[in-house]
Amino acid sequence: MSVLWIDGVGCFWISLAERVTVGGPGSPSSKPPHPRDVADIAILSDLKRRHATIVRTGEGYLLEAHGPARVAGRDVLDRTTLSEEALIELGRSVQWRIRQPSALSLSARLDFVSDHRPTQAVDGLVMLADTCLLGPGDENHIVCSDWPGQVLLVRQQDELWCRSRLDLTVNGDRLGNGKRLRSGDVVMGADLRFRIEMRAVILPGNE
Amino acid sequence: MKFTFGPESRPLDGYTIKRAIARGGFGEVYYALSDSGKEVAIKLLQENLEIELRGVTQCLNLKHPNLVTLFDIKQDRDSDHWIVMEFVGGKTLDKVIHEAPNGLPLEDVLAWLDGIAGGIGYLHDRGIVHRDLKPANIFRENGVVKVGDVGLSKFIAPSRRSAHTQSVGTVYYMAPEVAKGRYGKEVDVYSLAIILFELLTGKVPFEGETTAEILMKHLTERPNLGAIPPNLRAVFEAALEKDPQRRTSDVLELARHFRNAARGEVSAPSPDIERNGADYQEIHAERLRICSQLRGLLDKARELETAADRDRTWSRKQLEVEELLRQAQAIRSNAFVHDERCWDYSAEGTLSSMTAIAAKFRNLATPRLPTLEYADTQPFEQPAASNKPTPRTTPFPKPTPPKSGWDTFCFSCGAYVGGLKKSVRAHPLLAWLAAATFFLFSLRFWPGLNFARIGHETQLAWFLIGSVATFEMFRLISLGFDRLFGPPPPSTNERAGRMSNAAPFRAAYRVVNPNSVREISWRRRLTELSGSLATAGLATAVVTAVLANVEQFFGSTALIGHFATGTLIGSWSLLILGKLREGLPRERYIDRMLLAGVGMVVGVALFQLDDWLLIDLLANGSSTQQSLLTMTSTSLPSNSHRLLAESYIAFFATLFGLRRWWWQTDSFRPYRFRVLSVCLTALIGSGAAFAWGFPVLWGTVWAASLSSVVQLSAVWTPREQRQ
Repeated sequence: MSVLWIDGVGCFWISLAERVTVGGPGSPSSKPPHPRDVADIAILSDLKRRHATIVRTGEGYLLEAHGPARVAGRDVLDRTTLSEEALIELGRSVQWRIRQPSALSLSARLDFVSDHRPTQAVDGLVMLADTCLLGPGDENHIVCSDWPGQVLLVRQQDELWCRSRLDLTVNGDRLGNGKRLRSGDVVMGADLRFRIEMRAVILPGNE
Repeated sequence: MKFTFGPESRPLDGYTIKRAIARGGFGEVYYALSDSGKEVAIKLLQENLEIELRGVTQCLNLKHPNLVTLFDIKQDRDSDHWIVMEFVGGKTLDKVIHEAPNGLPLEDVLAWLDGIAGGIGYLHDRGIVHRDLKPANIFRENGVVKVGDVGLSKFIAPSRRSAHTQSVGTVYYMAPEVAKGRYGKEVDVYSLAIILFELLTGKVPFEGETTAEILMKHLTERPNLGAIPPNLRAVFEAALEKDPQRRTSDVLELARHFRNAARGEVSAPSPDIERNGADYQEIHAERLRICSQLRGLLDKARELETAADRDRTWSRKQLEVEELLRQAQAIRSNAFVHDERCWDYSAEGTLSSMTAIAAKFRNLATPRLPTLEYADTQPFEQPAASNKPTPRTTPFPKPTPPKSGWDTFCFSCGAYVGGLKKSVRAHPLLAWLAAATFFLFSLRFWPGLNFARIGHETQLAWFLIGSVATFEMFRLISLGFDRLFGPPPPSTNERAGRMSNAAPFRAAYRVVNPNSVREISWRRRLTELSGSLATAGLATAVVTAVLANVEQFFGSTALIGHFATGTLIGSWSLLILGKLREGLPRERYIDRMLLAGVGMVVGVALFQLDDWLLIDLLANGSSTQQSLLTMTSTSLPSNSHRLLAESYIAFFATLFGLRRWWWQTDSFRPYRFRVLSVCLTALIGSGAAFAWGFPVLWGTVWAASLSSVVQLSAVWTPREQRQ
């Protein structure tokens, strides 16, 4: 899981995995939980520790319910496909909406509709299939209204690369045709700046 | 947009900047985490430092849920001042307006208004004027509206929505008197009215290309309220008054006026309708009607919501709320069928509110049971009533307990057959053996029958009695088999319980019946027995006297004595055995065996008496007896006209063994004297006599007499005295 801190925009999580588990924080214990017992997205809510899994397939997205869940107002007993702008309801009150704003990309963005968040503020999650678009228009996965142009985060195997037509630098070096992003890199332009952090797993309270 | 500090900077000890949030004329705002992980917004004051600090210091200790909380003012190593404040994560009102270019539903406007008025009213109550009220300073997080930038002010910005202009304050929301340097709380009223205008219509009332043009309009031009609902226009006219003295004086008053006016009439004409034409009038009236209906439904839904929140009865009231929502949706459908212009945004807002309430009920109502289909109306979980134990159902319900005597007889026959079937199922080998025995027995006897002499009735009676006797023997054998090799039998109390389940009409005897185990002292047994034996003597004398008066029954005095002696010995034997076994755990098989043994002894004794008295029962009996003797003589080893010892022994053993005599001798028997018992005993006696070559008449009468005597003489405890 990667975390994007974008000036003037917000904080977004980027997942390269095909399966992302969602759940609650679990009960606190003396020992830190094992990473496999923690959901990829552990939000402060009354959900099971692993409540649902969002799966990216070759053609779209599925929701596998491990606890009470509804999609587009219908109960999910096992799994269901997630259509564009489908409202995902987990448990009693957690609500997300899935969007695929770009027809050219299979990547999807999950917006938090209800006020439930991880222990610290996150504005959305991007399940990155091939590219993640950042820019001023609504066709971008992360809308950055005041940016002069578009920035692409491109997946190359398990690595993230940054590309843009804008004159950008990565840690002070010119971006050129693109650079591989590593944890802690800061991408900066005349009117934009963001930083990326990469974490193996984000434990509750340890974002 | 350039910011002074980059990610992971630590200009203030204890706080790490993660990203920049915004820039204003007063400074930069960053999102930062404290070393312990607390989210804060830290604001670097770069310009207007003195004014900012003064304003912020005034507000540092104000606490209100609708105001962004200020935590502290700190200085960094470069002596720059930072304000540490609450981080509010939700959308700004500025963004919300941007996403709804045609305005918000009236319900949403009211929700925002309540929060803003609450926070600003609190400031006014503390003598502080915000002076920079604008959508970019207003947030909503977790449903709570919060006003930010408290304590900041003064300069006019050229951009309406830019949160990062060089100036503080925004000219679009600025009251006219600000240009003259007047900062009363009326400036906040004016700004709030402009915000409300924009919320309703999506546009500010005064727009222009330059700051001067906009300022001039604020100073001179009257706002165009055509896009405002008619019922709200007066509110805006008062709140947007140029002269602060004539303006609505307080934000809370403005909020009250707005809400009252909205409650009176919630419809708002949109610009595309010709306002002066008859068409508009008609549509407007229809809008009012629709909004009124929806308002009524919404009020009901809110009442249900309030009640459900109080009583936690979301499940129970969910259907009512769904019904209200269905009605509202039907109104919407009808409106679109009639004329879609009759459906305006305020009606949509009301419907959205109802949808939200219904969604809340769906979420909070009892979780749903997973079903194969998506059944919206089926609850996820079982209702509370299902916690009761479910009554066990069987595919074959127990028969209804009989009520009348005939029913009782049928029920008993059914129970007997049922018990027999059970025995057959449990011991098929024994059943086959019994059937074969009966068949061979029949073959042995049938050839000797003289149908012409005994008649069909006797033939049928013989067959029936023989069948019953055979099957009863089989049942006894199977019971004994069970006793010896089967599982331990249920206790008496369990049996009593089963009886009570099987037949409620027996429930009265489930505890106090001859099967009840109870403690009886030997003294009491002897006392009662002595009385019973004496009574039996009297009863025997009475019965014998009655029979002696029947013509041709007793041919001689010896026969009278023989009969009386037999009755007395038999009844005493039954009474003694019954009294000895009374109150002890019943072992039906053993009890029957004991009785049969006693019957054999009685048979031996009576045979000895017969032999001693040289009585010829056959000679003194009826013709039927003669015929029966002839018929059964082939089964006996002797062709003598005198009864053999075997006949006596077999007859009394059968009579005593087949009958449950303890139900006639026990003090806890259901009735003191039961004619039905006498008849049944007589029937068995006749059958036994028939089977063993004993005179049927004598056998029947002796059996009936024994039953009568023991019932008359045995002690009987009335039901209410039993313990």
